[in-house]
Amino acid sequence: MDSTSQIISTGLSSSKIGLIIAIIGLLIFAAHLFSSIFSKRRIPDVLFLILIGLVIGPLTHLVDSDKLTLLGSILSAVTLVLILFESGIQLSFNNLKDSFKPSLKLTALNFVVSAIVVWLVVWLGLKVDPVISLTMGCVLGGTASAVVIPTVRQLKMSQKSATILILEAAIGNVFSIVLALALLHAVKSKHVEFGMIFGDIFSSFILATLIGLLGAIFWALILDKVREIKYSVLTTPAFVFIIYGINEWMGYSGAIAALAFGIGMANIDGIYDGMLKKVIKKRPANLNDTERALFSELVLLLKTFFFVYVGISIQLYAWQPIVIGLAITVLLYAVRFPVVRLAIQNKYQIPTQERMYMSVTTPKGLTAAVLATQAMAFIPDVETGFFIRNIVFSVILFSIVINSILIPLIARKNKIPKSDAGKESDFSKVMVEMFKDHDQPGALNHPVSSNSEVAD
Amino acid sequence: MPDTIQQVIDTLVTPEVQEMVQQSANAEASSNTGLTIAILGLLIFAAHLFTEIFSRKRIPDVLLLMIIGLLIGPLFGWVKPSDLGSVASVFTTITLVIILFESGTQLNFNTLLNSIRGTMKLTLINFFVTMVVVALLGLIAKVNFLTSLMLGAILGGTSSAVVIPMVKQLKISEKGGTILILESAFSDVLCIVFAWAFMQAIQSGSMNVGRVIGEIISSFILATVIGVIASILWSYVLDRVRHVKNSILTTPAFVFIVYGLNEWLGFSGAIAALAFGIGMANIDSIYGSSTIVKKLFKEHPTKLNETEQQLFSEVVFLLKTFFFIYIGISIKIDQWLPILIGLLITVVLFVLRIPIVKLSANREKESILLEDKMFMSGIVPKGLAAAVLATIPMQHGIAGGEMIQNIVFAVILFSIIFTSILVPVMEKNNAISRLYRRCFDGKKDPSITEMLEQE
Repeated sequence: MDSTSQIISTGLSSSKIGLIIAIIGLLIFAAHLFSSIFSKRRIPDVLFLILIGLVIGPLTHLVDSDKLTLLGSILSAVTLVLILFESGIQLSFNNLKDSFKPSLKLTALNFVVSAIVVWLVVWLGLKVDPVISLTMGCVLGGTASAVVIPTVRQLKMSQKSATILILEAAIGNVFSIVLALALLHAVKSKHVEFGMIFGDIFSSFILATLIGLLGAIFWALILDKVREIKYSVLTTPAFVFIIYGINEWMGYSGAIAALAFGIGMANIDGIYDGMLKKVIKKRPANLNDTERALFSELVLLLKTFFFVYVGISIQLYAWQPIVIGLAITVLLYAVRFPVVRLAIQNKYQIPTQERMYMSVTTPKGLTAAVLATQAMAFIPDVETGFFIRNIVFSVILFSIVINSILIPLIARKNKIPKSDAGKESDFSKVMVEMFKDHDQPGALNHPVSSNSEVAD
Repeated sequence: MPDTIQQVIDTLVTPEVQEMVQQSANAEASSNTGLTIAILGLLIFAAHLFTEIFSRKRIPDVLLLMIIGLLIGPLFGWVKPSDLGSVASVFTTITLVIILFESGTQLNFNTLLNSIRGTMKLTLINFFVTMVVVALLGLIAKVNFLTSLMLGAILGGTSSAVVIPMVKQLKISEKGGTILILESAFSDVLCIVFAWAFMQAIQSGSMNVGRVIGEIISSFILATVIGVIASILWSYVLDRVRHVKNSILTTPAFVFIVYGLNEWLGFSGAIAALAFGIGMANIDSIYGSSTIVKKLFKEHPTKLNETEQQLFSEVVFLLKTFFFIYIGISIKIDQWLPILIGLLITVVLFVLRIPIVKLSANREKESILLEDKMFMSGIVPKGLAAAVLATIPMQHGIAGGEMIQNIVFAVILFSIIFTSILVPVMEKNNAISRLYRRCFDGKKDPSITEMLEQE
């Protein structure tokens, strides 16, 4: 056996492993502490977890991200799949219908504007090749499900707003992957195949959704038999993993399929009554409370280690990409305000507070990091690839940090008791002004979670 | 090349560019993540299928999982142990801690008291006989005596991570099962302390017997005390912890802290994790019988509920699956001599186990069932503790360190395979089971069928 060589190469003695195990235990407690800090002070736990990662990773080098490459990418994908699935099981069809249109508008507008901004900055400002610059724009056009979903749920936004943001992250993800990879191939082959791009986007969406939903119907029909097996609760996530893997392998969006699977499981009664009743006599099973509780436990656990890992894996060697990344992030947040204003119009009846949250929720994450890493293999000039990857990593870090800082600033508006009303932040005042003319009278003080049941 | 980029590149040093090239090579690997995720999902289903195969055909799931590991690891080279890095040793330890804790939550004090004498005898006799016999084998092969003793100490125990899942799937009495589980936990301490003592003796040329005994006692007693005290404390805060959302996993998180604290203090973290589980399972008895606890706390402590227990069992199932696949992945099959020596030692250990079990169980006041004794003599798998200890001689530059390591790894593989094969064979009526039956002199020991007939 070869575990020896690892232990030797990493110098892990049993007392060191003991210490690591204790730290893992402490991290789980810390995650709960950070969660409670969020509910009191509105400082997102994500920020603390990334900071821990930054401290034990790039700052003190206690953990070396190079040694975590393979497991890190698996942890990231597992976290993404479970977070999407678990958020899917809390979305109802009715809600999806309400949110789909505004979400698609927001996604498309935000993607296009963000991509153009990044394209112009990198192309004209940094004099990088225009196609590579546009690729960067696409890489940074979407938002990160793994950050958006936990944030949205902690904020206890209305179901409608939460769904808009969750869908934006999932759909934007597909745009990013398909467009960025198509452009990277164009860099190599020197021409762009528009037909292929549209075909890819279409198949990625539609087929992934279809496979996800069919998977959910199949699973719901056999779930009661599966439950007879001992220790079988985790077979549901295992099945989602298979659905995700099949989709990725076929070139569709595994993330969309995982989300669709969750949505299918949550709405299985509706699907059965609407379509399947005539074909299948057996009524499908719903997920029970124990299963839901377990998935939610797992999401918390994975989320905790995922964000610590994000902190660990941010590699910033030179200061230039850091500064450029910060500048791009500031620009992306600046254009997000008008984008949200344009896309989420009055008719959708979203309270001001929630539109303010939407306009500060544009974190970048996993997809951007993976695409930036992949970009390096496609770009013939290795130095340019390295440069681009570091800028993207910097944008990921700052976009999450800025998101974490802006949220408590906005939250101070409505959450502070009346006696402390004077403490309303300047930022919050500016934001309210920006969205004011769009509001119906009284919408400003619309209670955050009164719209419908919370997404939590 | 644009000037701006050139400036940035000028600030970079060569290793970083190399790292970048490495990363771009990894980009291909990251596009395979989807496939990896699907395989992880399939493995969970496969694990359930293997459990089903075990209950029908008695082919141990452990063996099938290890074969998967062997296939994807050393045979096809899809996964290398180095791909997993140091995370692997953390993962195996987490598996050990959770398995010990969870098995502890299913042991009650009465069974423990009933089994402790048999356990101590079996553990001690098995450990010392193994150590001496392996040392003698070493002498025949002209290996340094202390080094041989160290190899014997490394191989003197059994593996909790293999024994516990196996015992749970067998038709073994509660007493027999408890003896095996406790043996696996207790023997780890003996292995660790003695192997370290011999290694220090090799390095310094002398051995302090008093210190060795002191360390064993402190490791046992103090780890148990810390584990039980921690379980009492946890059972008093558990009620409040439950008010926090998604807090079920804080219990294993607390066990991790208890484990880490013990290891850091130099006691046995494994024993502490087991004691914590036993404490949680028997918290009512502790509260009922301890006046100190009653004086300190007026409220009645909280027990683990069904959802929590169910979740821990699910987690154990998951960890066990990946643990055995990992063992398969990390087996080295390119050197034949250590493999052959390992095979020889394993055969000797399994043969020796029969008189050891006979000696330790025969004079018990309450006799142990014949079937239990047969299982006890077939369950001698080596595992994590042996693997970790095997790496230390080489780390400390002891002569023959690499050989020791490779031999131990071979013994780990063969002992798990032997256990996996022997256990289902013993359940049936065949030549091997008849041979084992004869060894234990069926007349003196009641068998399950006889006991049922008497009843």
